[in-house]
Amino acid sequence: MALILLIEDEKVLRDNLKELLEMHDHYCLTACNGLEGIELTKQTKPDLILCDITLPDVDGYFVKGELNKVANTPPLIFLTARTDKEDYVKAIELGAVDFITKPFKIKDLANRISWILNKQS
Amino acid sequence: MDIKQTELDFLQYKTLVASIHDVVFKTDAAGNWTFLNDSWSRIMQYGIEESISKPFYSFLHPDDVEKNVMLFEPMIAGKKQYCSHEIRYITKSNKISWMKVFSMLVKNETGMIIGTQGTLQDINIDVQNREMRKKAEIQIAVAMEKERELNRLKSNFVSLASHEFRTPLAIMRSSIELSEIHISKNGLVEPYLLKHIQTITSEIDRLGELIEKVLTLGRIDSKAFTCKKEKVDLVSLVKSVIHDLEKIQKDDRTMGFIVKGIPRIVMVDPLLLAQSITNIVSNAFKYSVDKPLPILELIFKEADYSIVITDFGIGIPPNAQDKVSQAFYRADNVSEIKGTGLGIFIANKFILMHKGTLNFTSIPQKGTVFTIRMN
Repeated sequence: MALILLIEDEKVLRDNLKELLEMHDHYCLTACNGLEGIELTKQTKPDLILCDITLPDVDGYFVKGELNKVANTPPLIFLTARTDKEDYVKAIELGAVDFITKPFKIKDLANRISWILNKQS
Repeated sequence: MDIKQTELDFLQYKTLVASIHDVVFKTDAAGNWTFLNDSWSRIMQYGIEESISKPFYSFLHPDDVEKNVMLFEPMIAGKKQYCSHEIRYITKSNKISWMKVFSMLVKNETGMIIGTQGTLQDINIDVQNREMRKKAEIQIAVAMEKERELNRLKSNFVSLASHEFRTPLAIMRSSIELSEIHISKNGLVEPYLLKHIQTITSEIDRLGELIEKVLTLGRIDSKAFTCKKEKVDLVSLVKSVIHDLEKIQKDDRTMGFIVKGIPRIVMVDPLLLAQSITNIVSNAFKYSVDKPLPILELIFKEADYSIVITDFGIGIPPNAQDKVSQAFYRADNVSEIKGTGLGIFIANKFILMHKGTLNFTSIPQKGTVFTIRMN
């Protein structure tokens, strides 16, 4: 059981992923933009963050950059519609633990989350 | 030297000066013509008589007078020995005539400056050519900028389309998967419903694949791909591609893998090469269902290496073989098998970006052999 923060601006996808995470017995907090995501991370210290890159206010890279300034920042997985190699390289350079491109199989995402959380603990 | 010989020499000299194609001139210290050869009349259409004693600048284009006076005055002041420049004269029929001026000081026996002498070379054709070249260069620059702008627009469109297509697909996929999980959990396994859920899932995947390939095509078109070569363990890369494709074969088929020669690290763009091999191997599986397993051979030679993918499937009809590398082309014998007609086109483009080659041989109902050759 873990606390997972989901930063995603698409409401239906946000709801679906929240349902999936709760189905796997995780607590899920959601933010619909980057700044809200940064604030919620600082307040709640989640175990894992799932973050979109294209967000309405700041992009996911900015979010990760800001969170890198915080001590013990949680691992972050980018969930994105971007597929350019440059985006992947940038994400990994910023310290993201994974870069999952949309559309993805939610079963694969669930497996990936479990693997990262197990590695953490 | 007798007087007759001197006169003869003078005559020869005069004939020589008269026959020179360029204008030969002399001026006094005030800049008035004191001598002009016949070329002056030919180019400027003014008679020699009517021109002599007139200042040279009265024949210049009004906009060039000041510039020319500024070049002439320092010479007459003895600050410069000569000057050379291009300037516009106006002919008697009021047309612009470009001249290249070469002018030098003339001094008398006591060293006093008494004027200038030199030549005016007709450079109208040179100037016209230069202007045409300049115009053409500007036109090329404008066309290139337009092309760059078009590529930027295309690239932006591809990025936008990428996001706008993928996100709804992700939503649809997650919704359908959640429905499937709920149905299974609640024991409401209605075969009819499950069949349709699987159809929707499979069609979402197909649409995703099509979008992926069309966007790749767009990126190739907008030159968004660059071949970034790095050191790659080719055996591992190929194994990984085969493994990923074997995992998704519904009939659990595998692929034979053979390495010939001594494996070595190669310089390639791993993403582009992996995509090329994926497209070809994926076809090898797709078009050889119920046939012997396809084989991938990695052949390392001293000067080059090849990736040879052989399947024993339906083959490519002879009349389709020269069209297989075209975008969206699909042969008649594959109409019942799902595909986009983009796989080989993309593979070929990526291999060409490596300066490699992609060739194939195929016999209908016997199979196809694709060979990627790299240096």
